[in-house]
Amino acid sequence: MEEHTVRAYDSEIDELRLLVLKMGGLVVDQIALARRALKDRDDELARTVIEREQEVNRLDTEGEEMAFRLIAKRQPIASDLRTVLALMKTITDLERCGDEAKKIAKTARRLVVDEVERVPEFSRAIDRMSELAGSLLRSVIEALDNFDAEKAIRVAREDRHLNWEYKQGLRLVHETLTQDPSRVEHAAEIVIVLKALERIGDHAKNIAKYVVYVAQGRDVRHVKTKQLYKEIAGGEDEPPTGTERS
Amino acid sequence: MEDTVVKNPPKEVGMASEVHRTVSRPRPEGTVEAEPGKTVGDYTHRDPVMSCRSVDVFYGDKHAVKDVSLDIGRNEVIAMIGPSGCGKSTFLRCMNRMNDTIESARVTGEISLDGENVYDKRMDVVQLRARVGMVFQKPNPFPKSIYDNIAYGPRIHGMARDKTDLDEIVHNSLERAGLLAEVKDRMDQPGTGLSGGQQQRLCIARAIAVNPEVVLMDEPCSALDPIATARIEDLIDELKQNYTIAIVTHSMQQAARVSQRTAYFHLGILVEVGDTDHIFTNPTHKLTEDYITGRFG
Repeated sequence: MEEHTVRAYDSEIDELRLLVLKMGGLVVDQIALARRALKDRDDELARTVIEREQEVNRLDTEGEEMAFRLIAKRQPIASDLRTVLALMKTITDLERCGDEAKKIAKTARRLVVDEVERVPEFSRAIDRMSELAGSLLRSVIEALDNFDAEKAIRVAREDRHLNWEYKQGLRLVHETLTQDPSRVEHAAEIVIVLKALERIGDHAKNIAKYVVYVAQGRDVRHVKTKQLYKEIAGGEDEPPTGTERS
Repeated sequence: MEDTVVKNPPKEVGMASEVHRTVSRPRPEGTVEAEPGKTVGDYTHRDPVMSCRSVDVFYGDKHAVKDVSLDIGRNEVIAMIGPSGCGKSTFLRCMNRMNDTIESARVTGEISLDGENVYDKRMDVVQLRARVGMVFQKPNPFPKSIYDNIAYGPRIHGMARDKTDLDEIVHNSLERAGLLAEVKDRMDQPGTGLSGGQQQRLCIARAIAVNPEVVLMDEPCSALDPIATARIEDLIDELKQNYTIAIVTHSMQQAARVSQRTAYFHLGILVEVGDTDHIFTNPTHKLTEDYITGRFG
């Protein structure tokens, strides 16, 4: 009895779900491509990312319309209602992640234009963060696809590594500026990128909490991730280990 | 997505196309079976008007209601939902002994109204049905005038000393049922001449004319159009300030809109009872979830 008596209802919810997965895949791509554009100082790739942001926006609008139609026509209740609401909220978070990727791509273009010299330490910090942000987002979307609260909360818990990297990155910027204050403009651009990546982690964490809402019917948006990790995933508290994590 | 425009796409590209197409949705876990007497949720109420304990109803050999315990709280609207044949109407009809009229029906267990056993030999059934009134699926006004439809009950129960008293009861009842403005100029015309929605409100006015404590409603809107339905729902909301209402409905949305508590019946068993807000957002029993989300096969 997994399916609705009215089968069209199932296909409408599925359509919305597939749109969210597609949007998630697109945004994860956008992050990776924006990172590559920045690393390779590739103006064309950066422009591609900026153009493809339109596609993310289109999915945002389309997904919201789909959800409105579903609510108006089917009046979903219980798990159906939670699913539709969570998917709608996820769409909003994914759209914001898309904006962050666009910010990184714009930064990449500015750095190309200004022909700013590379700093290997910055590059490494951004590498670590973008890899982590992309992987958090990808994993949380997998958890959403299966409404796997435990997996979602494990992903949310990983966000602290991203925060740790972010702080390390800021420290690095600070150190660099102390040694060479003339790099201030470059450093400001790097801070924008670090902040964008850190925000993507926060959005992934939001999505993780929507998954808990769907799976368990609890609104945990304002419950500390540490506590949820303990309750849902049975995990113990460990300090973030940065690059040494598994 | 024009992936071809992207130079050397990284490995992440393509994830969107690898989505699986199985339907996975979160459902309450645990047993799919319902067990008599094992209701999920709190079936008691802190201020009960009626208390039902271990109620069984048989129609001959058919076991229609199985070990149901449920309190009906004062000034609450409690909705009883479930698929056809689940025993919800049968259970409702036990509360004012309407099942007495069916020869083969046998009711066991305890049902009390303000602590008085409803099935006690000394219980005056006519009095009981005045205290626990009933409104049926199909509006059934008496073939009498609008005035007499309402005045009938108060007359036989000797509630009015004189004509002025009776006029006042009729007036108040029609007003409370939201019908007065529509009928005040044609009180002597037959009740059967009113529209379906008006007839149903006339029946509600008739039920409340004898000042009941509880009004039982058995699918009161299923023969009405959406506007007449909305009027009745609005009326239920008004009436709960003075009366207790137990409503059987096939409309999930109606149950969600009008009630404070919801009871879900399945195959004669009270599966789950709880706050309506809870039942319609996050029910505990899988059978409840399946029914309210439209997965009942």
